Amino acid sequence: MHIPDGLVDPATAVVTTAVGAGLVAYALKKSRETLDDRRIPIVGLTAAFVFAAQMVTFPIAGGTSAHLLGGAMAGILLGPWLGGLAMTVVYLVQAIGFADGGITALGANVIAVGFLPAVGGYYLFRVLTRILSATRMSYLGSVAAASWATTVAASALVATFISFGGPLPLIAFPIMIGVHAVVGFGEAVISTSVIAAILGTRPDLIFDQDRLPEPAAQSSEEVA
Amino acid sequence: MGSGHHGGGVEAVAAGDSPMHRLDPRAKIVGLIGLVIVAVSLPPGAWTAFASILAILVGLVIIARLRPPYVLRRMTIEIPFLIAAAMLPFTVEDGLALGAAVGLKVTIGVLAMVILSSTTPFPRLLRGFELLKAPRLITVIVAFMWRYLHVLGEEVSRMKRAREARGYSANWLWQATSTGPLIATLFIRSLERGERVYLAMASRGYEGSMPTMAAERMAIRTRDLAFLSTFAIALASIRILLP
Amino acid sequence: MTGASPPAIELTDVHYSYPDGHNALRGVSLWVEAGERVAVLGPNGAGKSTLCLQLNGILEPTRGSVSVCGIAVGKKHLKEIRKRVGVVFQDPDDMLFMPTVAQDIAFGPSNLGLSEKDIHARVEGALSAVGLAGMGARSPHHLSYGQKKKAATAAVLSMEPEILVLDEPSASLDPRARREFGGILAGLSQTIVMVTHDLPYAHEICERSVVIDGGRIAADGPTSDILGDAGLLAAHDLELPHGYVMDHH
Repeated sequence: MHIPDGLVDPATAVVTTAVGAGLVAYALKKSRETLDDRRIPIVGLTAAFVFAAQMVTFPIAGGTSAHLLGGAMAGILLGPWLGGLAMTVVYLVQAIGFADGGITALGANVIAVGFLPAVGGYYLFRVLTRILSATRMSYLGSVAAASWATTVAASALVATFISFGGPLPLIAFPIMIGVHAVVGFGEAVISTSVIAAILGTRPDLIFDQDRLPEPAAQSSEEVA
Repeated sequence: MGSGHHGGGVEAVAAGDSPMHRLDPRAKIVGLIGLVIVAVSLPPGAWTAFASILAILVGLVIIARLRPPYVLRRMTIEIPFLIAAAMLPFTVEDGLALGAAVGLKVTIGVLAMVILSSTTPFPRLLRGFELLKAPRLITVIVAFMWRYLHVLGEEVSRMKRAREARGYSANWLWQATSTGPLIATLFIRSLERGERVYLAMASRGYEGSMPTMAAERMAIRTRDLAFLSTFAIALASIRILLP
Repeated sequence: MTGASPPAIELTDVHYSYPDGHNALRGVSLWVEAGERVAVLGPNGAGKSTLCLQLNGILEPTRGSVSVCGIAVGKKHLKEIRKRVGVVFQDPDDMLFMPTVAQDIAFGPSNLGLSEKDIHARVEGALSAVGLAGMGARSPHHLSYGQKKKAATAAVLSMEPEILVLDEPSASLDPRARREFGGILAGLSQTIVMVTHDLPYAHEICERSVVIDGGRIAADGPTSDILGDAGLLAAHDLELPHGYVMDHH
């Protein structure tokens, strides 16, 4: 779901590049506040992790497969801004080093498949865990919902970007969303099982320590 | 979606030698990104302009001595978008011109970045961006990411092999949960390695500011200026005269 | 040893417990003269790696004191300490974090604030000291494991430390790389503290050995005496390879 060059209208490209740059600047500022400035290697490693995680494909049906986008997962694990920053660096390297995603569409990609799922996914997860009871089930349910919803929302935003004065007509809209309602299901399954596994082994590594479900909080004390 | 990101042999090709390889990375970055921006700004119907830009890129492929099979293999990444562009004639008014323009723009964007990454080893590319005043924090994060991508990539392959050696094969979405623990392990290892890397850096006097990556000196030479000015004149005349 | 200059390393009753409460060191006192080569032996979890990190101030003792070349290790003198003590970590991938080997080797000297010309000279010097001359432009992932280990060592040597601390220097090296790396270490003039499981390696490189177990020093003496004491080795889960014959040098 990386937009290549030519699919976004020049005016949209200019606007999304400016907004994307603004988001990155804000994320850098926020990350520096929450994260010790000296811990830059951790950010690089998490970006490498997202990139490597995207290399792991999962089956959809029969022979077809998809790979993780990882935006919501990154936001929940690393926090919204650091997660968004890690996603940005991934798309930057993919565009320049691998010709995957256009350089003039980088802003659009960073907004739609980087910050939208990382920041939006994180806050949706926060809201859901606040509403629901503090059980493992509802915690993981929130992860799944945030992953699915942001995948679909990201595809809708991508479709908006490429149809906004751009060449692809609104006909792309329902197709994009329909496909990603299915892909988002895979995204939800993977993200949930990743976070379930981390809850079981190193819950201390998850960004939000105040929302951990009860049983996991106990087991973390046992590990310590 | 679906395909892995490692274009085979990019690094070996980038380490090669040609007049294109020898150019300063800054000249290539500015020239090729400029070319993509010009191409993206062209309206459908500017066929001579599109053709001229494609001709420039093909010329660069020849000067860079990149082999056609390699270039084509790396360009397969654009196939889904070409298919989408090919459907435009059937779905919208003036779809043929629109589809052709989209297909050309996608192709130009992909080919330009393939040339850039195939003639410039990544460390030099990064140094080029750094000298072009890209935000330091971003170039530093990119440097770490690129370095550990290889380490984590190897870990992923090892884990996948181990999983397959134990008879793993999945065809359906509900089997995908078994991928979770693999990625979780990857995440834990990544953060733990990040902590160790930080310790190793602190042990060598790191106090929060990265030194510039000046292991190699770069200077803009006559040939770089010649390349850039030719490029600028060509692109300006294409943009102004041809549409 | 003349005794006029301060000892390279002096640990006085060092205790250390991790934030989680685990007591890794429980009263370690150690005196290492400049130019000595000391192997630190002991089973897993004995506190060996913790000890390494005390020597350059990454970890600070919860009780007791550490000093290096007469300077107290602590927040105040970190810069001086890290210039003098070079630590080679077990996994070279943790140490080679820059895009090329030369950039990695230049990292330490750049932090010391040296001029570009001096940094360049240090990089070349360190590369040839470990037998990697001409390989500075390579990326770490294009090196063999043994070469990575050498590059990581060069990255520390370029700071021209007086003391070299190595954590498991022979781990994961194939026999040839292990031999070559041992040769490089044996040719260095620095004071060496080497944490290892590899007893023959300790014997080859270090004249003195210290056995650590349960966060305390269990034995300290000439390596040949320690390795010759079968009872001592057995008591601390240390084992010489089957059929290994000690030659006294």
